[in-house]
Amino acid sequence: MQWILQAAVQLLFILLAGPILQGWIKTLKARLQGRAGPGVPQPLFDYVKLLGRESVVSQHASRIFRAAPFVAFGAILTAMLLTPTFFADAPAGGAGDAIAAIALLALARFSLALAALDTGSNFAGMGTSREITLGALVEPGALLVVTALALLVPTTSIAGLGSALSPGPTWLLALAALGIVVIAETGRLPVDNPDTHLELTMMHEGMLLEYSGYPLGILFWASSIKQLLLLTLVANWFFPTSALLPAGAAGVALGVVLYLGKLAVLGAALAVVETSTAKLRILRVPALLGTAAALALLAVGAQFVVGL
Amino acid sequence: MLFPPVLAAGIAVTGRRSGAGVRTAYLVLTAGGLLTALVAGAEILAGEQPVFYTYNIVPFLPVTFAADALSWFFALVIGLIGGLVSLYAVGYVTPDRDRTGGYTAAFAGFVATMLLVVFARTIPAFLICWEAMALTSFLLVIRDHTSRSVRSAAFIYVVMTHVGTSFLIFGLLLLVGPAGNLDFSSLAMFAHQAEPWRRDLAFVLITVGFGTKAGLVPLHVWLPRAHPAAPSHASALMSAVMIKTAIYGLLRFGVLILGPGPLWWGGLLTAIGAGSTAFGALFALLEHDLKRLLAYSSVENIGIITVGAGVGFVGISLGSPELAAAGLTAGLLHVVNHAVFKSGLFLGAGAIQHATGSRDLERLGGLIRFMPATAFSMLLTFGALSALPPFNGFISEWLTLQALLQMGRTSPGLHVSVGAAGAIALLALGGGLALATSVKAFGVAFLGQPRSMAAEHAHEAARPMLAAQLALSILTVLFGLAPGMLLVLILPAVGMLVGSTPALGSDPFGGVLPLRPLFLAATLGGAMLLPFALVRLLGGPLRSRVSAIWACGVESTTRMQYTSTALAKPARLMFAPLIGGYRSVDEIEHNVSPYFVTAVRYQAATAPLIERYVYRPASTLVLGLAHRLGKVQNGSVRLYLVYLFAAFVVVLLAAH
Repeated sequence: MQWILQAAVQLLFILLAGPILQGWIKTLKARLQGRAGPGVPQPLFDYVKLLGRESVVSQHASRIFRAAPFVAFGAILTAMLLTPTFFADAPAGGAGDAIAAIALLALARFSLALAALDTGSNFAGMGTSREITLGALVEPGALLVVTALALLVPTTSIAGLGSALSPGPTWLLALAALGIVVIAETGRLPVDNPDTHLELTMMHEGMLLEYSGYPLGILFWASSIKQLLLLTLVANWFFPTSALLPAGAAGVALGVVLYLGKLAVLGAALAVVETSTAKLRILRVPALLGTAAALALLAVGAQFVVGL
Repeated sequence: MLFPPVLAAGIAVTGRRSGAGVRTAYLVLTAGGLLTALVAGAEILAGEQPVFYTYNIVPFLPVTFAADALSWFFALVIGLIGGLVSLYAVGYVTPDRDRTGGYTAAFAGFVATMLLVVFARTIPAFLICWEAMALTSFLLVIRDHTSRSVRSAAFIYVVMTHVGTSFLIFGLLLLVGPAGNLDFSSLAMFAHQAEPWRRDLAFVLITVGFGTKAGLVPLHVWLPRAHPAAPSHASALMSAVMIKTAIYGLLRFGVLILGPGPLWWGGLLTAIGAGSTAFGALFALLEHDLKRLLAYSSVENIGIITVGAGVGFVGISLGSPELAAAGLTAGLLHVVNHAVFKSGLFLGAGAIQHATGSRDLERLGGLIRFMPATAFSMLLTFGALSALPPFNGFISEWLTLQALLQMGRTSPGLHVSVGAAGAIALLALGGGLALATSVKAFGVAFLGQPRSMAAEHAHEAARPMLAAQLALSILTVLFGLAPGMLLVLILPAVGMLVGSTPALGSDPFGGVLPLRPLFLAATLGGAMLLPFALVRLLGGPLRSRVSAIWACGVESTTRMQYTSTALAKPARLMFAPLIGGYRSVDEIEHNVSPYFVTAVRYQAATAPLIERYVYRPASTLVLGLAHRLGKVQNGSVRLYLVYLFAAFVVVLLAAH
């Protein structure tokens, strides 16, 4: 039964930490730009408020439009449940591994893309065409990072890959590759601008354009959990500290503190990257994603050259 | 054991005269196919020794058939898919007196010859059945022979398949020992201790021969032409089952007869497979003809199967049965999974063509309102195509990736690990592009507003067609949630190929199997229900209303939607160097002022790079050679007498 308690606690944490992390990054970005910012808990309040609002649905939409937010939220939450947070084991870690997590994120993208086309709107089609193409280009980078780690340990489970790396060239190259993948998947500058809904920056936001009310609240919440998932993966694989923890309640408390600290630092890194770069022209983004794949491929080769 | 399918085909042939007779014939085929699948499954689980049936039709060409685990496995696939496709045909085929009778006979013959191919045990038996399979499928492709494009497609198909078969004949004849025995066990004995150059050459020839039939790049050019030209039930069978017989041949001859070979055999297969995956997925995304799109997607999936087979070959070369088992299991599982979802997709495309008269995506749209059951089944099968959990495509792609990772781990050096990583990257790219293709195809065809009058007057498919499609889509979910039932049928065949049967419980990857599909699906289901609870708890009742969409203040028309070409445009721009081609936009009309254009003509095409740089030079060379050689026959009887005399002299000298 301890497993159920742990899972419930982690589920509650995931639901709260997603929006709080989003608020943290937004406030940091605002401070870096000389503004006051919305406040760290504001996104959480916004999402809860949206959940109570009425949804307006396109006249051309079918059941796919109504079902997609639930499918996307479910897929992203399941992927998050495969990832360990402040305990050593993930809440549903035996269900799937890193490849399954990537495939679940693809399922979320699939359902949202179909929902966008379901509305019969042209803006949504624009976001869909870009998002599906860039999603295809992100997959090699993401899977190659998993490969670079999985060649070092005989497993692909997310918890197991945490013990793969030690500091060295492989670590650095794989971190750079995964960093680019995280920026692309969370839809942040320089790949996509999460703050606007303009045509030039419409990718992920473009697919959500026709949503309003409670489905939009669900989708925003899902995006924040996806961001939490990606930063947790970086924290688990590149800054593992579970071996340092003592046993018992003190160990759990220390684990929570360390995990929150890693998230805060990685979120701050994202904010700094967003504030210091401009958006890339969309035809330049494949070059960036190809660089991520190349870096990961080098990470695979590096373990032979240096032996680490 | 072999006779149920052949008997069913025979009944179908005799009962072909009338419209009702055609339907009865297809029903018999359905029953026969499903019965074959059940028998095959039972035989695999029973694990009996092979029994040989020999027919001496011509004295020196023995024709022998026998059954073992590998043959039964492929017979299972052929029977299952053949049976369900025949059920579909009951509702799809319109009783058109002139053509349908003979056509049904050809269809039955096609299924029968495919079954015979996997049971053949001598070179003459194999080649006779292989050729018969090619000829019956040619008859299926050329049904609409009044259309020029169909005739051209069928011609290219028949030329390519015979080119491949000639390579295959050369390769097989290399392995015939000095005693001249043509049965597979004698071939195996000779090949195992033949000289390395002979084995390498035989491997290359066999790979080219079977690669042509399988549709591996660059031998795939017949696939996107022939599969759309054939009617849907024939395309489904060709795409889902016929190209898998090439994989059967590769495994039978490459693994069982040739035996362990050097590392580059497996490396070559993995490289060709990975290249085909990325290539096929990219070109599928660029197509707007629904069946050509599915044909290119078949190229992609055959690439994935070949990658699995390649890892199997590498494992055999390295002497690691676990690695070989991992690769071969992944490849064979994808054989079944792809057969299930690809046939479902082709049957759905046929239903769309039946309902709207078009398979051009640019003319479809909003079909989900008129064909909800077809839409539901195609949603599931497109999900399987995109390798998404909880469908079966995800399981076999996951296994292939795991096999590649295992290859990278057990490798003796940098080149194998980096090769494995490169293959993983290409497979990932192919998977991502396949997802984009699925979104495009399903979204443009079924969702949004109808783009033409034909789409507005669509109707749901007939009940037999729906039954077959829904059965296949339910199988994609079933095999995705419980792949164990398939693995139990695959492992005996793998054990036969590798030499030792891996146990199902133990993990071929040396650890704990990190994927539990049922658990994952259960978690997914629960997670999808959580938002309902969240909304009710935090927000209140779920309220929604319907309204018009925003289209910059004007009424939204169907022309404002994204088209299939538009959805593929980012990919076309980003991959432009690989695709070539041209694009032109010309203004053709304006109203009042040249600043207010009212009509444009848009043309875009991809360049046929492989045809231009590989096939055109090759065919020019061959035709030029033939022309020059043709001068030998100039019609003069005196010159021919000189030839005869010279040949006589040469023979006398040689015999001396």
